Amino acid sequence: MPDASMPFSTNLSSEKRSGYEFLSKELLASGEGPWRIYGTPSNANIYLPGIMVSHGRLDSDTQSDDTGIPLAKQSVTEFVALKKQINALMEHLRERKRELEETFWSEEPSSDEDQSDEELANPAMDDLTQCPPSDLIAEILNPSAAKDVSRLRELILIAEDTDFSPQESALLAPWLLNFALQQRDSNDPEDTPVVWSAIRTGASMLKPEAADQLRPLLEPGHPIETSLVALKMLGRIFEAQPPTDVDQHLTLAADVRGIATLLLNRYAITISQSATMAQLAIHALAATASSEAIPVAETTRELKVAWFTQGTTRELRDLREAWQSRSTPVADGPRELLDAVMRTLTEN
Amino acid sequence: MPAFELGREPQALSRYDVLGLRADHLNHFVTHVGLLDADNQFLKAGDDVNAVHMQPPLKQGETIKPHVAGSLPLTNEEIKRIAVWIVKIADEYVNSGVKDSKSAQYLISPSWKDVTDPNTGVLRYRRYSCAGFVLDSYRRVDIELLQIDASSLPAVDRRRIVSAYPWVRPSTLPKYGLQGNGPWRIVLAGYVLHALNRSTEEIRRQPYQVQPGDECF
Repeated sequence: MPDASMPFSTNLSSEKRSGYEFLSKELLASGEGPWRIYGTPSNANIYLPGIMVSHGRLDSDTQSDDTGIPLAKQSVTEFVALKKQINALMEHLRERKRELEETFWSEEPSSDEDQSDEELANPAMDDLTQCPPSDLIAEILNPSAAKDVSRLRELILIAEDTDFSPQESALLAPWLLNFALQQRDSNDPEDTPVVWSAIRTGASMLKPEAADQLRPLLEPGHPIETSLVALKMLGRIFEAQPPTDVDQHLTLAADVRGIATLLLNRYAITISQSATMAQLAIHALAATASSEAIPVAETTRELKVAWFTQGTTRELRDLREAWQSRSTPVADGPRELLDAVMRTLTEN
Repeated sequence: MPAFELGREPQALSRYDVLGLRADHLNHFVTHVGLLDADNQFLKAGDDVNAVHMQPPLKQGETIKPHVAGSLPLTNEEIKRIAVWIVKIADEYVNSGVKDSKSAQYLISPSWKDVTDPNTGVLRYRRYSCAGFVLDSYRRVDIELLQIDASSLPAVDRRRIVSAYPWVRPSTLPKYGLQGNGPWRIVLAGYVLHALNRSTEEIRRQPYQVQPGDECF
């Protein structure tokens, strides 16, 4: 085994182009690369992962053609054998490098660099991702768009990253929510992210007075589950656009209260999905300034599940901060109701 | 050890401890971080383990081979709260199959940024870097791992950016929040490991102040 206590490296340069450029000279010189030189100049070993390459004197003025590292004076026979070994090991290292790259970089996003030249030059994809909002909306709303399902899916996903005008939003939001309503019975897994994206984008465009449009999407029991996304977006609509008074959305609040009532028990909330739904329901009730939030908070407190109460309180705290950060003060009624819900959750 | 390199000896890790991938040929540069998505594991180098991490899209239920890890003993209550939060946002990052949509979810600087409707201000989703996702997960339980205001972060030059994000073409850096030629003050994955390489008490008490060189671990 090499003497690891005595590593050293050399810095003799070569004018010749290296065939092993993937092994940077910085790495070789620093000793941080995949090989090491151990021992003393008069009796050294070159050590590659798992395999001893050679040993001999390194204080020679002879250099290898490729690495710039001086080789020991050896017989021609030894030199040829050494070169064969090195070539085999270089192949081994190239293979290792490929493995390393797969390990490291395959964990990263597959975006720009993964696109082939052909893909990068594909005007169809470029048109989709960079086309103006007016063109995008025209394509989505075109009745014949449904004939090309995969293209329509792409258009809907891209719409989520697109800024539309209020007029365009007024056209697109109902279309997207209706699309989600129709497609949630699809059994094609490729539809799942598209339906969820359509709900997020469509709901994000809604004014509070139009929030009732989300009610049908709160209904459970479809192949593509839409209630969690709809419930979440309901809360977000009112977080960004606070209600002007309490109990302005009675029917909607009754639906949400129903969800909370079903899920707020110690068995259901041990399951993360149910706990999430229950927490979103409380958040939505508080955000819509529904007085139903008070009895729901009482039920939550009586469960005596500390982590759930803490998590819910944290979400409501974020809601209060969002309202407080607005330039226009939130009306007294909704703000006082939110404070009351938070007090109810935490009082002994 | 709060943060460590995985070796031959198995190390105990808990759900939502931090896992890191690094490039040894870049002098231990940490290229990616995510969260352990399994209960009570003994991990050693080369082990596959379930992780939840911002690739993008948000990956869950798939394995990675971490090289380094950082552990903060989270309480069961904290673990449940993070779990609920991940369920809540998971729909926003499912694999869309559209390349540009996936990369639109990723961000290098800042570590996260809300995408909202321009007219209503309603949140659609939040863009993250891999480190940003980890940091925001811990923020759900009121643990601030890092000081992330720009003045607290070391400058990172273009060469380092290319090392950290080899899948990003330099011409597309503005898309990921990096305008101009740099250097930029951004959060790199390795910083998260250094933040966890402190006593539990200190981690919970104050965020870590990043030092130059912390991109490697």
